[in-house]
Amino acid sequence: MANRARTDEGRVLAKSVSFVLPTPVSPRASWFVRGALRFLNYFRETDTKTARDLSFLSFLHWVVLKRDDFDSVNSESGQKNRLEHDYNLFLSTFDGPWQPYVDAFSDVLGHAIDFVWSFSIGYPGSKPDSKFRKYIFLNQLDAHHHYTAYPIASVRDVRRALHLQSNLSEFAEQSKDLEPEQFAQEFRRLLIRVQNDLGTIGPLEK
Amino acid sequence: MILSSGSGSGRNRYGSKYGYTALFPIRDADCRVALRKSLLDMDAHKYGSPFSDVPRIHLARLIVWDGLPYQGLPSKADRLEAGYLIFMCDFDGETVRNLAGSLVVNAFDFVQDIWGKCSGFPVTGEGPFDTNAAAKQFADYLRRYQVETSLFFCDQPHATVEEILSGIKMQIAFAKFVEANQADDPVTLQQKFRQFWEDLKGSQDLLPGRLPDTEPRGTGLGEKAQP
Repeated sequence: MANRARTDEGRVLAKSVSFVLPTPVSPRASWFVRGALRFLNYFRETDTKTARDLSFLSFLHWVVLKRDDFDSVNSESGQKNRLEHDYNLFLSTFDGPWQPYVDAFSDVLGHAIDFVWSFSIGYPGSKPDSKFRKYIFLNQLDAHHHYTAYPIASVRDVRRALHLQSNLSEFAEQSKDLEPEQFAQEFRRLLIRVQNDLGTIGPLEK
Repeated sequence: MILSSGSGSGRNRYGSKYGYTALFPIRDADCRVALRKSLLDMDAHKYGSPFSDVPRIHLARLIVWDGLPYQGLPSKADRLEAGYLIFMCDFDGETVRNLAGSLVVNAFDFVQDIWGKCSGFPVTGEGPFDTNAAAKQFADYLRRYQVETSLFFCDQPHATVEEILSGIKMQIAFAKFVEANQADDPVTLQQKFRQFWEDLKGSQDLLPGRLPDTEPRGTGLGEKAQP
């Protein structure tokens, strides 16, 4: 399986990890789930603050699949998919190992995920952790291929890089005509502003 | 088949990014096996994935889905008679056409290899190749099997792949510059910074999927810091 993205002919592991969770939902409830997700999506600038504070969630797609979406026919048996449920499909990308991610989800976003997943059949709730982890483990889909354009960077690394880029570009422009003493003083001020952005960025292992 | 939520739907977009999700029916069992093998073999690609040739893609994921989770009694079990390929992709752009065009131009062999195993793939590659026509056909195909991304979140909605890679390159170079020039007097510091900035602007961009180990002299990238 390929939940963690790779580079360099597969020798180097990237920091981002795939997490995919399909869960069955009653067709009578799925319209409400879709509505709830659309509502959350509309207010995502504010209601995803907690998700941003977690600092390891780079991308998230949440989709509701209707039974009609699975209307293909098996070309060999001629049988058509006939499903009893709609499916709530959660696809996210996070940095780091699986268990802390799932635990953080349960601890920090428990109310939000309970709100959406409570319509999924068999969902035990985000507490206690052990039942929640078991439910995820039983339902999770492994990725067969996962790619990221910046394999060496975590969510925090990208934030630091963009913050530093903005500050450094501004400094380079504004310090062009300064005298050396003044330049050195401004340079020290720049370092104070970006001191948290100077950590090492690199791959996990070779 | 799949609902066509439409490429113009704002729900699939956030800032300058588009969150594409789709479910493609796989042709048959042989294709399902071959597809799984092709996808797993892609890890051995020089830069981790053929998607690394497509500069607008931040992230992509492919999954062969042929089994549905069963929750036990009293729930009824669902069974998939035909398998599906889940494709999730986050890219810089406003429409699915942007993605389709980039994939056809930069990674057409890969597109044929993967989506050629799915039902209804329209681009055969036979005869004289017309890039525009192929991109349009592939865009129509991607839209046909697209599902609405009801909730789409990303941490940096306004930064493009190019901007993020440029920021990472700058971060690595500047961290090494600071480490190597901590004790310089003001005149030397200013001279070295000007040289560093010129070298950085003229240095090769960090490319998608690559490790930063081939950068040119003078930026500090890929070099050990000098005392």
